[in-house]
Amino acid sequence: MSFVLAASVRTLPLVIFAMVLAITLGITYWASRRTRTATDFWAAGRGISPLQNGFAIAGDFMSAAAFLGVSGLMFLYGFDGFITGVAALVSFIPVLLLLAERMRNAGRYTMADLLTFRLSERPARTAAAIGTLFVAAFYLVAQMIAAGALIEALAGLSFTVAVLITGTAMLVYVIFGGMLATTWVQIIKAVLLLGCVAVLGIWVLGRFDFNPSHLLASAADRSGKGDAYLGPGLFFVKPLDSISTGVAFALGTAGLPHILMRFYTVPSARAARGSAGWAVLFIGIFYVFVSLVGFGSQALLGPSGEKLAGEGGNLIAPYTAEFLGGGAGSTGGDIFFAVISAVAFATILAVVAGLVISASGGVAHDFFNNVLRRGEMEERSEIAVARIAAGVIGVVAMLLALLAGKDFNIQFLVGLAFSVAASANFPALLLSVVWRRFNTAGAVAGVAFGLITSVTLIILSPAVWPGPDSEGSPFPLSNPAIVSIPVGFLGCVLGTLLSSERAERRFDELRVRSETGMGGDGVVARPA
Amino acid sequence: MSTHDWEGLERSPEFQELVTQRRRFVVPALAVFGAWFGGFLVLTAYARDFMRRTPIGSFSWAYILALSLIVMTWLIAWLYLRWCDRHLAPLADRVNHEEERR
Repeated sequence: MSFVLAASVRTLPLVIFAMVLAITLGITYWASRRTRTATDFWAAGRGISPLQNGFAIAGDFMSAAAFLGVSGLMFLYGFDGFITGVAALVSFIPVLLLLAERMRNAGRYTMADLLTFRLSERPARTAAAIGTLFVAAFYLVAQMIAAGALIEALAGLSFTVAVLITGTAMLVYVIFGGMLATTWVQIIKAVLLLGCVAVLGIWVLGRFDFNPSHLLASAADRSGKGDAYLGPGLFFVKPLDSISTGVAFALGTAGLPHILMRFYTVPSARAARGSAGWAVLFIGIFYVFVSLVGFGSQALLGPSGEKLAGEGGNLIAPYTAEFLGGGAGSTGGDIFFAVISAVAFATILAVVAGLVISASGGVAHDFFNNVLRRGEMEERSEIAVARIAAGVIGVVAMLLALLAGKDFNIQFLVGLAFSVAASANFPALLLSVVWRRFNTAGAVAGVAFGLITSVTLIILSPAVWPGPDSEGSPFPLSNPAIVSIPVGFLGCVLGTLLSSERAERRFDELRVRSETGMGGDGVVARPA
Repeated sequence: MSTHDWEGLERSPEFQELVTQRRRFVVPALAVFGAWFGGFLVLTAYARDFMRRTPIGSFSWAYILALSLIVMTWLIAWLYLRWCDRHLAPLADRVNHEEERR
């Protein structure tokens, strides 16, 4: 580890990074004075409006991987880069139709609240907390590595310094400002990112007389691959790989603890579904523009962009902005490069903060309070544990990111997070709200089966075994979802049927409460 | 807190009506989602030559179908929110009111 700041520091991006940090820390100070109870800390006092929460959910979803990664993959491989984006958007349909309102009506702070509603508290909650921590940990380390590598490339700070700055800022937001600060950082970042991508996308299109067909034709032409560039198969060479990755993203969201937790921050179930509606609108617009930037970067930069974009193509978006602003060295080019870089930085800050707060819920609310202390902990101590947990999780994530280093394949960590979410969390969550017979053994077996299968298959996949991106790995697909999701469901069904436990009595209560909001936390019955 | 007769509530005609109405939207919507997205993935995996074809200008089938999925998501979300406000929310309110009167 070298503590040399950097060889070639770019001043302008650094100045804008510093401004982003100053604004978000100011918000954190404001939020810290409004964060007292556990409901404040994890659910922002349930005072976020549907539109605000829609932006925040979109913010959680429009990560650096979604912006830089998808446009980069599209630059390099054309259409295949877009598949994860579309799958990530449609994933909100099961979330909206099956989980959003139920979550809000029947739970309090964490994903586990809904899962454990009618099951034996301690085993089911332990399973859910482990599921939460695994997903958050993989996602977090991936984002931290991305942050370090990006800031190093964009601003010229060294990887170590960049990871330390990102990690420290994230901890300050969460520990002092809780969900309120996290939400507002998320909202600001979402507005900035959406604005930037829209400007970039429209500008790229303008270069082709606002004729998208013209843009696509030049992209296909300059890629040297012709129409194949506009169709599937260049990145996901094996057919099953595109299916498995698509399924992982489409069902993974319904098991992502930091997304599901967002539905607790609004005042009612109506607001919860409204916020999912806004999120779908924003994320859809976002991906339409990202696809224009992705194809457009190839049409504008062509083969000359490949060196600039780096491995995985991650840096193509800022370089496209630089090109549009007048090219390297020009004032316009410098400014646009700096703005896009700073927005990417803000994006990572917001996403990691959301992940840390969901992980702190898994540790403090689920494990410490409800498993170890059987829910008898005082609210004050629960928040104290949450803050300590956030600190520990953050420091561990920073260390893991530094140990793994910037050359680590981050795509595999994000894939792991989505497959664990889809295979371990989603089956148990879904069955707990729709299947009357479902019980504790089913939930525990489902989480265990899904988790173990997805992690094992990722380790045995081409990205990891026997060496990075090698041939001859025991499991042929880069994403295990197509196998591990059915195994997760199988675990749920087998565990349920092999156990004689009956959890049906509370199922009636869960159904009535999740549909009507009766008896819920902070749900006020309307006057007759 | 739990003074409600959950089993009785669950079996009440008001609640059953609410559940039926929700199912009337959610089941077909999930079927459309599954068929559309599933079909897209299968074509992406196994009909690659077809997906590369460009029927409208330089828009390939792959890109057209991907964009259509975005529109589908907007449409289902919008219709669901409307269905909830018009059909489900009044039914849920009715269950809540019946319970308050008891």
